Amino acid sequence: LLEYSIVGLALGAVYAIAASGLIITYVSSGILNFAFGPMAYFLARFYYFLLVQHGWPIVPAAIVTIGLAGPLMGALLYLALFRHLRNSTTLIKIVATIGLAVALPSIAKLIFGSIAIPTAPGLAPEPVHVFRFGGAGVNLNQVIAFAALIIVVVVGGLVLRFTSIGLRVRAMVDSATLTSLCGVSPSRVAVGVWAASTTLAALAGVLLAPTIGLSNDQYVLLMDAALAAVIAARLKNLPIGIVAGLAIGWLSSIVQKFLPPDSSFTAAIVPSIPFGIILLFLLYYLFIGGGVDEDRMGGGALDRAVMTVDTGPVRTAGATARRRLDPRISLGPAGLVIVVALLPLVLTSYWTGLIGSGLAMSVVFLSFTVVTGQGGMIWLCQATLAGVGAVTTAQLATVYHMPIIPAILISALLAGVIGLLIGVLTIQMGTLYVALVTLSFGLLIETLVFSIQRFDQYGAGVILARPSFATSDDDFIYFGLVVFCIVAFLVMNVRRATTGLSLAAVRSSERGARSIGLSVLSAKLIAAGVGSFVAGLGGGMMAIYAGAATPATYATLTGIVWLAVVASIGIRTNVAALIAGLVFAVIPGAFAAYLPSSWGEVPAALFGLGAIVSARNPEGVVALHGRQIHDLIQRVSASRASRASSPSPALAGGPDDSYAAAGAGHAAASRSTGRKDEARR
Amino acid sequence: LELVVNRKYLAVLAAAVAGTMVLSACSSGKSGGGSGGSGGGDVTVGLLYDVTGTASSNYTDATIGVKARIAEANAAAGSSGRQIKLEIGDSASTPAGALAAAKKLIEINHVQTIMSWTPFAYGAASYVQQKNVPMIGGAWDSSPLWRTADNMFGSAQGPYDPKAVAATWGDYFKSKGVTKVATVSTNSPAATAAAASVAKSAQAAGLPVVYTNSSATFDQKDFSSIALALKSSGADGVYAPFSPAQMLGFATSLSQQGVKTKVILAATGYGKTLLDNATARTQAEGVSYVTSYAPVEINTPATQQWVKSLQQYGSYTGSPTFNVAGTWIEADLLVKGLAKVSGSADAASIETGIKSITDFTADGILAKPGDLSKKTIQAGGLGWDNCIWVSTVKSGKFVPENPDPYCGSLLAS
Repeated sequence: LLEYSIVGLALGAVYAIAASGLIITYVSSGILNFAFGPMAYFLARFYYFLLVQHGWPIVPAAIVTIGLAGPLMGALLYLALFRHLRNSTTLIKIVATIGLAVALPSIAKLIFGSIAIPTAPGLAPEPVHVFRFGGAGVNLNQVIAFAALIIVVVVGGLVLRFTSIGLRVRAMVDSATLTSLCGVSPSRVAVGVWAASTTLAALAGVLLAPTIGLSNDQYVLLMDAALAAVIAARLKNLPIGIVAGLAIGWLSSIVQKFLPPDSSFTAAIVPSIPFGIILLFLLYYLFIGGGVDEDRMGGGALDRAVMTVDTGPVRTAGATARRRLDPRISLGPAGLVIVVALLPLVLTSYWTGLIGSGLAMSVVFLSFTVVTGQGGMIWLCQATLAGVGAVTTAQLATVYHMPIIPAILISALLAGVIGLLIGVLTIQMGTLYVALVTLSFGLLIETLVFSIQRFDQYGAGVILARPSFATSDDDFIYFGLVVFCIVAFLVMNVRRATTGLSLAAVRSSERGARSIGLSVLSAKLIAAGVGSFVAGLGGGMMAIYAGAATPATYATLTGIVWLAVVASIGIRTNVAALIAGLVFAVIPGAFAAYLPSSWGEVPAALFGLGAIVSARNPEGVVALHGRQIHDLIQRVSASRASRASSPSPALAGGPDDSYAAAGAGHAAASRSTGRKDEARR
Repeated sequence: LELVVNRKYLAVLAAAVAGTMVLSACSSGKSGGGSGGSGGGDVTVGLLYDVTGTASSNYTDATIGVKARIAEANAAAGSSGRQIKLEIGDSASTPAGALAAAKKLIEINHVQTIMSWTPFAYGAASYVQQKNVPMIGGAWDSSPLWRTADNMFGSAQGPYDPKAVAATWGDYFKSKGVTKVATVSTNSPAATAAAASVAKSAQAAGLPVVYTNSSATFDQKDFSSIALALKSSGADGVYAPFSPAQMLGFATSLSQQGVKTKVILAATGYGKTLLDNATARTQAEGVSYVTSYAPVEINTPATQQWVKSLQQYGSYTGSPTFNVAGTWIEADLLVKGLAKVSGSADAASIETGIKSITDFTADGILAKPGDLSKKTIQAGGLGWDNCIWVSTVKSGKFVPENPDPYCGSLLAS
């Protein structure tokens, strides 16, 4: 047992380092950095670039990576991105870091080149010395990682507790406003915090590479395992985070001793350990500790009083009533649908194929519109729910010989029920916890369910014939458009109904919504159920288009890229979901068709950067430009009207249905001010 | 500033979409799907592989073999002879990406043959079959179509059944004095089936399988606890169907925990990439790597010629990796198939040409001749006729266990 414990703790140190990086960043900056893994990968890749590709000795390569590149990257990212997120909602912060997570690996490939890296050296010289503890062997890289973990925790703890710098950082976390009033520059502290955080990412990246390998996926997945420790720590408690990280490693090792190695039960238990720990701690916190909500922590009453949270531009309900009377409003979306419907007449089958697949994606993307855009919840398991729709459709159609349409609908209902269950379990949690739990849930289903041979078929998935009315790509486009329009109509009605208005009010101010007696719970549950149903439906459509329900298509990490794409185009509107689906399929297709294959990484980098840009403009490019066009029309109308001596409307609906969202007073006020500024320009 | 940033972003987006539409509108009408031949007997062929995405780092050298073989064929044909033009399709590490890339190759590049070198080839297989375009591949991805479709051809190995069992593995373990066998794999059905096939082969050879672990996750690199369990099982022969990077993690854990075995058999990883990396060289010491093609270290006239061609036409020196060798052999099958076509070649005639080959050895670098005229099912992870070579890393070099390949018959599974 001692041997297994030693090697388990050595592995656990890896999770503990990752968890402490995430916790320290969150504690000192208020942002749970979903890009911490990709940042660690990027810097570890830079270390490999210096050490192996350019033959630098270990010490200078490590100093340049950890001491120079790390802090520089942090400072740059703060100035370019995180600076603008300080007063943003959790939702916007998550989307921005996800965008960064999507863009960084592609940027790393573009900068450092795409080469095969079979194994990565660490800080220990080769050949790596192995120490014996009883019957267990621990190598020098693992010993260095352990030592670094202790040093970071002890030094970090001492600096935070006993130095004036630490005092300022803690003060800033407790109350940025009061600290500013004391004459401390928030920007200066924040630059320092981010520089320290990325230095930690560099250290983690370099230390972990020998144990986990040098690929971005390894780092992202490691961070996901470490998230269990982060949740156990309630995002803030570093000692608990470290103990939980060590416990995950220890448990993973111990099960190999006590469980039969050849049973499918063991194969299921091993990857479930992080999720089990998450579940355990959440139940503990929910029933004993009074729930988990990051918004309840940090910030004093003064901060809340003076804070202007940027929830993105919103409109009043009055706009909804007005836009129904305005025939111009639906011209944009309807025009787009007509244009897409006409495309098969002019395009070759390569492009119609891409558009067909884009339409199936658009349906899935509508689930983000419902859950995130309307419901205000970040779910990172939409791809999994789409996968549930796909594999169930395939089973119903091939094993039970059900016609394809009922098969898709039943599969979507199943996804909807799963979504409702997730909703019930997570709805009382804060945005961050919901994101973390859904991410872990997605990875768990991917490992446990999608890998079952019945669904996996040695990787190829279950072959699924297209329905007779949509065998060609042209026909599939019409079929996809009809399905998209029906689902969009459903989503639009949810939005316009009391549920949608309640959700908009909740998004704007949960406390305010509660105070006027709105049922937050039921409104969010409806969004969860409808969103998951739509994801399942979209998954079924994707499977029909591809001709097979292949679980690999619905990987949880792929879903994160989807979210980045939707966020950058626009997460609140149906038409943006349609454009996002088409862009997601057509842009890489265009790059593949007309540019050298070495440009292939560019679209992924663009999608990630798009999501980062969206952090500064949460409504997305479609809504922004739609509004600008509409404002232009309004101004023209207003000038005509003024000539006829009739007053122009102060607030009006936009060219698409995003503006049906009811809004908070302060947002409406700021919009009016913005309009005046814009008019002056 | 916000407005400027967003305007620029939208401008880029709009330009990209508009550009796409204009270009596609300019292209000729609906494509016939690669059925038309090129003028002057020239042919255009496509290579489908993961240029981008999560799997791409495993295939960075995939174009070397195919480009070298095509350059050699073009040089041999002379400027007046039939020239082969290569187009690349990026399967982007997803089944949907493979389908889109195959469509691009057939409908935009009008290729007459597709060579696939991606684990996601199954995403494109049905479409390529519908278009009647021949598809040459490693046949090591999961598509069941390799076993049935007339247009799909394995090159370094024949079509395989994941459940099939060949005597090769058990015989090899026995020849090395192994007395107890262990298998370790990830929990995917494909990997579990590969491990089970080897375990059954060992049992058929009278060797007890004392440890079977299929609980590794696909991102796992630290196998310390599994190594401890393996040590206590007393196994002295181990088979692990891992990716090259994962195999190095496994080998490191075995040596770190002091596991003494006679054989550690790795499914893939032979080649220059491993030897070029000093850390990998150390970690792989003592590990035996399986190949379906002749390791160049056996130094036969055939491998000498191969080394020379790779150097001359691909500027490649050292042991050819799975990718370099695999795509070379694919391209060689294409060249051999083309040689059977007189006059201008189209998809149908190339398919017929390939089907008429019954003795494909890629000029002596395959163990047994492959018969492309029929679908002879074999076991997975082996070359034609269930044959393999095994090379062990000793003092930082690959040393073949035997100049002749190890072959075995198919057992009733």
